[in-house]
Amino acid sequence: MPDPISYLKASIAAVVASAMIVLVFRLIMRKSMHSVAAVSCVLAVGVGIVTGCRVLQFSWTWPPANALNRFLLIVLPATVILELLAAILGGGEAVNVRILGYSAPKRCGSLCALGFRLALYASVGRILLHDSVYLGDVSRGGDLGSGHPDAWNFAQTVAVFGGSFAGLIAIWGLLCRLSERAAAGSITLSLAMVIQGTGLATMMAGYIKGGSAAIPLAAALVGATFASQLLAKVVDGFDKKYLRGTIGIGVIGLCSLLCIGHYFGQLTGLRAIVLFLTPLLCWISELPGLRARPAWQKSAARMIAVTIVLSAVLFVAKQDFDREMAPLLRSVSSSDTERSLTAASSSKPSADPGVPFASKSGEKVADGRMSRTGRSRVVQTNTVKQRI
Amino acid sequence: MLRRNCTTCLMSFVMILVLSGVGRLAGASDDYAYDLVHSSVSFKARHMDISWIHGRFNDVAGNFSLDREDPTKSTFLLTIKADSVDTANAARDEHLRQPDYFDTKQFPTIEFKSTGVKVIEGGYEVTGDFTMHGKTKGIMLTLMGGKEHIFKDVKRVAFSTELKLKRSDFGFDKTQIGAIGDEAIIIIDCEGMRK
Repeated sequence: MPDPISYLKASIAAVVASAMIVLVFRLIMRKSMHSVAAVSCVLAVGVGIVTGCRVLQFSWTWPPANALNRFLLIVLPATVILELLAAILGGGEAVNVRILGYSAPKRCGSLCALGFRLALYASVGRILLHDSVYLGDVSRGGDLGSGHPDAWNFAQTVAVFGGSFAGLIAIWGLLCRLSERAAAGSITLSLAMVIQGTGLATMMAGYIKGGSAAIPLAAALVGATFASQLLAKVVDGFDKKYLRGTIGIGVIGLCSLLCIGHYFGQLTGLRAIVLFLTPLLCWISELPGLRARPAWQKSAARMIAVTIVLSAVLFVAKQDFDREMAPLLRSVSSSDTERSLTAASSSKPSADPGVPFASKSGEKVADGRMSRTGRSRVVQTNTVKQRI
Repeated sequence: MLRRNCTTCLMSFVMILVLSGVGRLAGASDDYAYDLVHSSVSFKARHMDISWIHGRFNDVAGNFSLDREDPTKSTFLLTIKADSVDTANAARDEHLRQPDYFDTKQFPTIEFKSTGVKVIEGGYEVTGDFTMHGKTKGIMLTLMGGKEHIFKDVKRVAFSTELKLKRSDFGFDKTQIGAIGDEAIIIIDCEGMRK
């Protein structure tokens, strides 16, 4: 069952933990150094996520058995490590890398980080869908997936993994490119909003635990962003572009949550694609009419554009939730019972002794419970049609 | 003398052949396939600790081999498609298929595989591995029945059992137990047709 109090506690804990890490790093490292500042932002997000997950009492069993555990125990730590490497090796003031006594050029560090990034982005989908019915034919030689209606063939598998890889690279690249032109704070906050929205949409589609995993991630991004924004204002040399690592974590987190919500939960494909593309609306600030505006106006434009699309998606998700899930959470209302009884009493007695009543449309109604069951099936059919 | 010896040898050879054949027949086990039409795997769980929610799995397969002479050699295998859960409410069934409960895209089957069989009065005591939600635990089933019946030249045998287990023992999230109780009772009525 959803527990709003624990969600609030987890959010606060993640925000505070990530903000504290950024501030503490700045206090310890008095000298302004690009790589250290960037590392502190990435570490802050990592610590914030762990703190939030602990408040939410996520299980940390190894080996991870389901997609959510693989996301928390493999994908997120790998992403944090990747962004740490990228911050250390690929930064503007990157330290010289010495391999076997030879000093490698700075470009080598950037290439190494890019190589790690490509490898991780290519394997995220495979990690999350490991041992699932989708990969039955591919990974288990047909033992599990053969005959399963959801099992993918080779072409489908390549299309899904290739698509997610291309999407990840494109969105990460475009957001990083944008962060070079403008303040990264609003980009990270927009990303956090989309992640939180994805969590809500996943919860409303019925996968409560999967949706709640978005809370620590979004909160950690918010905490690190606010702390770095604060430092950018009061401390010289703490540039906003240090948030690039947090963009990388946010993009991977968003993609993973959407993958989990869609392939294991009931998050519709259209909704998942819209949510995945929503962060790109941050580019709205580069439109000719807005490009010359002050920074705060451009940031506001980004946030508003993302909020509008997010609100629309969540509105539709809420409607589906009210139709499908809400009746499961509330007790049988008296109005429902009355409606069933009215339908039954208005029907003529059936000639069949086994069926007490038959409705006017000819549908057999045994009692109030049967009537409710039939209604829920009709609702389900309509929902499927709408989704298609 | 030679003729008598030959006859004795031939008789011995025939006797050995006959005895080995009879022995093999007596020791042979009957293999049965799960008859989905006349069997059911249903369950019930407490709702808010005041009532019971009932449901069933509609897609079940399995087979068992019964060795009447040496029951310890009997085997039982049951595979339930978790996707086929049916609680007479389509929306609830969809919710049960999601990762908060059965996670059918990750764990499509629930399986029981026997590891030992013991005869008891009126049936068998079967120990085995029960796999659900990706976790395997050793359990013991008390199978009652075992009566045989031949209908239209097909030999049938049937068993019934009830199994009580805790969802949290099988990796279901404790924080998601919610209004539906942790403990569930699984009722298996299984009829097998000889292959």
